[in-house]
Amino acid sequence: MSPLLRRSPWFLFLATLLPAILAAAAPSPFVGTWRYLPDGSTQLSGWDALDLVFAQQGATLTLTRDFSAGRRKFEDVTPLDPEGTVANVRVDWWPDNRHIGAYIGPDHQKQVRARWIEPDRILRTTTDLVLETQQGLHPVNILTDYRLSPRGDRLTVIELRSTRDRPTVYLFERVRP
Amino acid sequence: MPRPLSLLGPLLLAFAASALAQPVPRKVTEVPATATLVPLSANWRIDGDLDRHALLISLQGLANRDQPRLYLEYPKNWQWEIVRPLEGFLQQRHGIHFDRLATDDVDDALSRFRPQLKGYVVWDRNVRSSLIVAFTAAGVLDAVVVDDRLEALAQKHGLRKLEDLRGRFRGKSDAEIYQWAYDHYWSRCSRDYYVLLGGPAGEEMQPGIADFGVRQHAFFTDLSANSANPRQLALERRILSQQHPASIVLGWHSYGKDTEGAHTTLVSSYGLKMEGLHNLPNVSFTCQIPFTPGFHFTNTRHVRPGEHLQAQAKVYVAAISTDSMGIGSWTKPGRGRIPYAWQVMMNWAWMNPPALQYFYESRTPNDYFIGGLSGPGYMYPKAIPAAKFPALMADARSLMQQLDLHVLEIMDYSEGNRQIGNTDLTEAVVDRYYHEFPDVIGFVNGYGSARTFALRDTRPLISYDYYLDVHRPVDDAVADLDELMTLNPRRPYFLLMHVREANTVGRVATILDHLDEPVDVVPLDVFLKLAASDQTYRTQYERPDAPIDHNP
Repeated sequence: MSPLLRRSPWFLFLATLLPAILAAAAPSPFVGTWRYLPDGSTQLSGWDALDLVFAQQGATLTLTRDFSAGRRKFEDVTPLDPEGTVANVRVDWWPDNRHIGAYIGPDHQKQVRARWIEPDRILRTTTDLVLETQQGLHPVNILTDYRLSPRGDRLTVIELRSTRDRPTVYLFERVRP
Repeated sequence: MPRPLSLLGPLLLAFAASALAQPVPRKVTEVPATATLVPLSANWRIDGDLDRHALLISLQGLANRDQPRLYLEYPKNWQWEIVRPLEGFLQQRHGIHFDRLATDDVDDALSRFRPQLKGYVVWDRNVRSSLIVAFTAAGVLDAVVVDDRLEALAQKHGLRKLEDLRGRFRGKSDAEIYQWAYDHYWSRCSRDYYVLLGGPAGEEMQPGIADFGVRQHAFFTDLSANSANPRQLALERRILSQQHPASIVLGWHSYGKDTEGAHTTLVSSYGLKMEGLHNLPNVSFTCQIPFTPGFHFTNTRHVRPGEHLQAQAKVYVAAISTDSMGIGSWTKPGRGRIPYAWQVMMNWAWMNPPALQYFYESRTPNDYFIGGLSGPGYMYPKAIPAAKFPALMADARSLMQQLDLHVLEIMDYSEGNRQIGNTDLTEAVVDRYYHEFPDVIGFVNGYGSARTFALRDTRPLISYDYYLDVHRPVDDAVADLDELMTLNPRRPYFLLMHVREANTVGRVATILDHLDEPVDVVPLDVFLKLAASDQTYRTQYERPDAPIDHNP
């Protein structure tokens, strides 16, 4: 490539945008269904099984969590925009620990921010919500890392709540179609 | 001078209350010196030993019709772990000598109790539900149940075939099978006892309660309460609607057809009392054994009536074990190490006296008994028609007085369970409990966590803030409780925890020993008195927008 061409504005433009265009076009390796693995994971609190389903539209991922315990099922959906937009998400029910007396607050909202710590390998979300207990309302911040294994067949989810010193660690394997 | 009508009112009320009580099995005036004991194997499969067990259980119901004669020693892995402790209790406290036969020895057992039998009923091993119908027929016809493998044995003992269900139900649905049973036997069955012989479905059956059902001429089914089975549900409604007011539904729902929540809601909606489980053993025997002379129920009281306690700025924890004493951790090591409350099955006062006496006499100073579950039996108050509530709760008050119980536990899965929906109480339901139980120390509510809290005069209603799952690792349980203390920063904080059946007291003590913040583990009566002294919890009832799930 001639030095002249390298200095052209077109080249600079393409060099800057092409990876983003390609990234937007290529599906994220997170996309698909992931099934909770009890071995090595923190026990699910009140549930027997959990599937994570990542879908993608443009740069935005959508995470669906399918909880189940026998005949009981619960699903919540959270849009994740790694470009930094804060999503205000309706929360009907707080399913994350059904052993404790803590419930989604009266606003039924959570604010979720997502960003890539390493593109297509580590996705971090920061969630703010208010939980309600017998004594009243309590703000909670939740940091969640979704880490993809090098072979792309395992997903490790590490979650730290501001109200809980012990992180939860959930392992998932990819469900092949 | 009082007017005649003012005297008539209380009399009519007393009559109405007594009319609700089911006939209590007669107690023997003299406990027999000897009874026969048959050990049972651990195989409850249709292609295994179920036929022998079913024969022995039906025989037990008939042999024990007028005298306690036959006791079955269930295997060590049976859910009701008190079979053997109760055996020892009957030997030591009542002087009963058990004449032990060989395991599953149906031949010898038939020889001994032949005079109590009129014949046999043959069930079809290819149609599981035929055995459930056979239990109904057994009680009505005074017959033991046999399959084709045991028919020759029955004939050897000179028994006549009174009913043959082989081939009758092939290709038929359960709705059709039980409709046939209804058409042929229902009119001759009890209106005081109905047996829901559920539990495990498929190739296994654990019909431990069937002896009592046979003894009482009960109708048996495992009909579904699930609206996905409309014909079964319709027949179940028809049966329940014809049972006597406030009568007993023995057994348990079928794990293969519906949920505990759905079926107990249905039973409650008719104002009937669920008395679990499907595998509760030997009741035809124990229901006839009276209390030993001079025995009275005495609870372990830690506070005097009317005593005021003042809470300090700390965390108070109380632990409660429910899920029926006898399938929990009563006999496991560690009991007595920390204060613990145990929910008593109150109807055992008349249905299973030796079992209750055994529990009361083996309690430690740290064991505290409470009443439940929601009333005189297992029921959901949101589903009970308001008009039926007072009479049922009068029954509960009477039992609580007899059993020296001063706290009532409430549970309601009519609109959810511990995963989804809600387990809260409406303000109207809470009003009813406060009205009906003026003398209790307080109420507890929930199974998993719930968020109904109240304090009226000195009687708090506290819901569980924690559910200790049997499989929850100790470290995670410690983190759960630490998190609850963070989420509830005011002190005093009243943390009520429900301990699922098989957790041992020792495990609970270990968890509580490892919490970040020191806590006071106190007896439940002390806990409620303290909760009455400083209301740091918000008064809450079920909200209009609460999530609802009907437990399909």
